[in-house]
Amino acid sequence: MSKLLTFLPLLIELNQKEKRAIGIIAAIVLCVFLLLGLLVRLLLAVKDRKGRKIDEYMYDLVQYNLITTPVQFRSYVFRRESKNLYLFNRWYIRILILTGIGLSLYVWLVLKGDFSVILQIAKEFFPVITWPTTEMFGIQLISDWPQLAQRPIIHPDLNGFITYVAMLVTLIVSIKLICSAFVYYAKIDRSNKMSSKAFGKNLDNLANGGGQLHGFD
Amino acid sequence: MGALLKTVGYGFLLVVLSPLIVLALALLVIYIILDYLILELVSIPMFFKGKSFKHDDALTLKLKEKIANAKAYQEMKEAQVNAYQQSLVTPSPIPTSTIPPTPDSTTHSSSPEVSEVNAEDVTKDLDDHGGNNNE
Repeated sequence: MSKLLTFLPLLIELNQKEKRAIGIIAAIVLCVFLLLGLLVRLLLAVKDRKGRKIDEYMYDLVQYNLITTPVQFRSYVFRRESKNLYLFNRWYIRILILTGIGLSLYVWLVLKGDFSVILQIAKEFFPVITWPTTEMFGIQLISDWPQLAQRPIIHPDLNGFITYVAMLVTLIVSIKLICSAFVYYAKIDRSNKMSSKAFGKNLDNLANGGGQLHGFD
Repeated sequence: MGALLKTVGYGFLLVVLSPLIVLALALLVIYIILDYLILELVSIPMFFKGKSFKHDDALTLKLKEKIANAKAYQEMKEAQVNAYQQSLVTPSPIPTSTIPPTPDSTTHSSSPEVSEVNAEDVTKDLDDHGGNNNE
């Protein structure tokens, strides 16, 4: 921070070209934030839509007083969604475990326990990218488009095939688990919000001429 | 302009909070794996008893039955209240006790299936509940 403050007077003495460069950098940063903000908005909309799935089974339970307190509400959603998590993800996790066991057996029996071969193949599959940087105001800043330092190396043999299959399975299972975690969070979050809203004594509900379920909007 | 600024703010928040978000997602994934391991262990004795989480749909049906009962009970209550309010609006010289019950209240009250369902019955079901495919 002190480094930045020492360079602050320099900003006033910048020439037109440098000012334009700073303007372009600020515009790029703003665009990146805007794109990320749009992504967040999209995720929030998806979260809201997924969270509303609990309404399908909670509405009747609340409507007919089968669930009467916020604690019961949250507890029911938590238990039901925990079981749903198991039912939806069990085969993905089983396949991941079986893949891990298969890969370990292959390394142990064929490669004599040398795991580095598999790790090397996995590492070489990804390209290596370097970002050219330049020093500006005492800070290293990206100055150009990234350069390809190393192209991906494909191994068209049995070791390569087994490694790629294991990587693909891990990727698919990871994506599925992250999606499930997001959906689970959306449902639990909605249950936490709605439990107090549906049973809370809210004068707005009376003013609207409604009953207990005005919380379910 | 406000919406645009809000969107940029969301983007800024995402950048600032990204380590926390990644951590939270990682913890949730660990939770899913633990959930899987626990329920997998629970399902082993269930397997030897000839049960599984899949077959717990019957309990969902039981819950549906409870909902139907509660619905009928509530409708019966409403019908009784309506009948009582009507008797207040149109007072008659005949005593209320001699008025025959309304068809609605007769059918519901004579039904053996209709009973008051309390929350404890439901929460008992929840322990064994299998869950539906709601995702």
